[in-house]
This record gives sequence, C-alpha cells and structure tokens, in this order.
Amino acid sequence: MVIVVTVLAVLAVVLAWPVPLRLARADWARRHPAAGLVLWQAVGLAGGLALLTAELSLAAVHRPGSWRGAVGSIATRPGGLGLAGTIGLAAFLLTGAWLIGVLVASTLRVAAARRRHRYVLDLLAVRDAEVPGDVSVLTHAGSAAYSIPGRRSRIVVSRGACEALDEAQLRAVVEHERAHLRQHHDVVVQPFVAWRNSFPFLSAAGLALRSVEELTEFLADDAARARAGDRALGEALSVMASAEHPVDARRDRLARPGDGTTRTLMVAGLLACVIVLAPPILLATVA
Amino acid sequence: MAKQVRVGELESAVMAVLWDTGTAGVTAREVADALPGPELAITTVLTVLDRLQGKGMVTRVKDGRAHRYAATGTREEFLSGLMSDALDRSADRGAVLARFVGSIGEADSDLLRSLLRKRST
Repeated sequence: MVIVVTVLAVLAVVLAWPVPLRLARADWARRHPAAGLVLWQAVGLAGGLALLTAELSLAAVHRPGSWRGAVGSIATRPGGLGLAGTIGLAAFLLTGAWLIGVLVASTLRVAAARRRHRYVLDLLAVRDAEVPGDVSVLTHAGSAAYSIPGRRSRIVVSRGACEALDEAQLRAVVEHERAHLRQHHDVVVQPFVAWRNSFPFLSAAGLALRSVEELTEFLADDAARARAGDRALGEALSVMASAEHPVDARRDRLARPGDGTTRTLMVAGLLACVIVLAPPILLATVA
Repeated sequence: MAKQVRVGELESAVMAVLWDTGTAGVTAREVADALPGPELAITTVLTVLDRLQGKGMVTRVKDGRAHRYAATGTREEFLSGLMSDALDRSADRGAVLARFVGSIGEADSDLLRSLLRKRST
C-alpha cells in the first residue's frame, strides 16, 4: 500500500506541474487544437483522480488485503486508522469536498453572470438588416464581438465593429462565434476555471486555463476559415486586434496551411485514455 | 437557434421610455401614454415595471399618491457595462462570454473607469 500511495502521489504531482507545463508549450497542440483539448481534459481529470486515490490509499495504509478491500473497510470500520490513515482520510474528504464545492460555486457564478448579461443585452440590443438574423447589435462606438454560451445563447456585435468590418470580415467573425457556441467551448473551459479557482497558488492551473482558452480560439478560427476563408478571417483579426487583445499567435496560424488532424487526434485520444485510466488500472493490478 | 425566447418586448419598450425621459422619473400612467401602439392597461405597465425593479433596472420613488419610476442608469452606462464585460480580460470573464477580440478605445476606457469609480464610491 505504501508503494501505491507513493506512485499515485508522484503521478498527481507530475500531472499537476511538469505535464501542464509541457502541454502549454506544445507546438503540435497549436496545430491540432482539438487533440490538445482532449489531452488537457484527460490531464485534468487524471490529476484529480490520482490525488484523490493517493489520499484514499493513505487512509487505508494500515489495512490488510487488496486495495478495494482495504479502502472499502474504511466505510464499515472508520476507527483505528492510525495517524497516517487519519491524515489520509481527512485529506481525501477535504480535497473532495473542496474540488466539488469550487466546481459547483464557479459554475453557478458563471451561469448567473451570463443570465444577467443576457438580460441587460436583450433590453438594449437592436436588430440590423445588415447583419445575420442571429446577431444582436449593441449601439456602441467601441468594437467588440462576442457570444453568450448556454441554452439561450446570443451572438453580439457592436456598432463600431460592424462599421470597421466589411461583409466578408463580419461573416468570419460571426462564424468564429457560432463555432464557439456549436462546439460548446464554454463546457470545455469550465473545469479549468474551477481548477484554477481550486488551486489559485498553483501557477500550472492558470497556465492550463490560458492554454485551453487559446486552443478554443484556434478551433473557432479553424471553423471560421473553413466557412469564410483565410483572408477574411486574417483581415478581421487585424481590424479587431488591440494592445489588450493581441492576435499574433492566431494570425501566425493562418499563415501556415492546415494539416490533416485525424491522426494526431487519434494519438491524443489514446494517450488521454491511458492517462485517465492509469490510476484505476494500477490499483486493480498492483493492489 | 432560430427561435429564441427574448425578454418581453414590453420590458424593452418600457426601458426605452424610461431612458428617453431621464432621471426625474415618470408615473406608470405617463409610461403607458408614451408607449407606442395601442394603449395598455395600467396594471400591465405596473407588472412590467415591477419585474424591471426586481432585476435592478428601475427604481421607484413615492410621489404623493402615485409612484415615479426611473432607470437605475443611463442607456450609455448600461451599454458601457456590457462592453466592459465583453472585453474584460480576467479569466472568469472568458468563461462567461466567448469573444472574438476587440477594444473599447481610449476615450471610452477613460469614461468607463470614471463610471466604475463613481459606482464603487
């Protein structure tokens, strides 16, 4: 059991720091954002699993028998775990409650902020014959284009952006937002917001969130390229770019031809499964 | 996504009246008179005003035997609020909204900052 605890703890640490660091820098992920996102999800899930099972194993460190038997015995006989076991159980319960609590709290907060934004937006937005029917227009001179995800989604473009973009460029922008909504990028990002909020002191969590957000932008860009063309998207990016919102990485991607993604996606998918399944398989075989 | 449930058209129309009349406030009767289209029952207007008040869009002040209603901010303030939401770079904002890119522009940023300061004091 001591070996199990050690291996799982090492796995949790590796998945919490060096792996996210490498993945955030990976150039192939920029070329294949979908594969990158699959891998990020697996790393996040596996990291959490490894941490929780390490703590649970520590709780059962003095119990004899197989892993499942030893851990199961804690539920029926919680007494006499010893110091290490008690620490393990407390850590498991605290971490579990903390992770679930933060996930629920941040999901609710985000949902409330979206609802509020959509409510005010609907009071102010106007329709415009010059933009597609699913787009709300804000009569503001600044330039912004965004979408509100969720069941009652909205795509929003400011008047300033409408005036700065020509028809093809606006189409690229709208297609980018439609891709965000269609592919539910908000759901992909949400666990990483929770992860970052759970461990704000862990710089890898912030790094992971930024990387995942960037990859969803790349995915939406790829959809916009396919529907509106590379040129329109590139021009739209140049028009909408600003000091606070640089688009260099996204423009660089446009300069490169897209390459076949199926193979990379398959490899990433397999790797993802291995990472996620590693802790349970380890426990079933070793213990 | 073709069929979306929008905020009641009435709520939009009532807010438009309040934004156009300024901060002094108007009575429900005056709102009813200012609304385009066929005259509405006062109770209907009161229901809408009540809902808007519940959402923090409208304040109500007692004036003699009637109430006067006013928007809690100008149209421009609410527009700027939406824009700053949309362009805020903090990560949680990114989770709330998915944006293309964009900027409010320097002049507007200054206006926004002063508005935010005003609101926080």
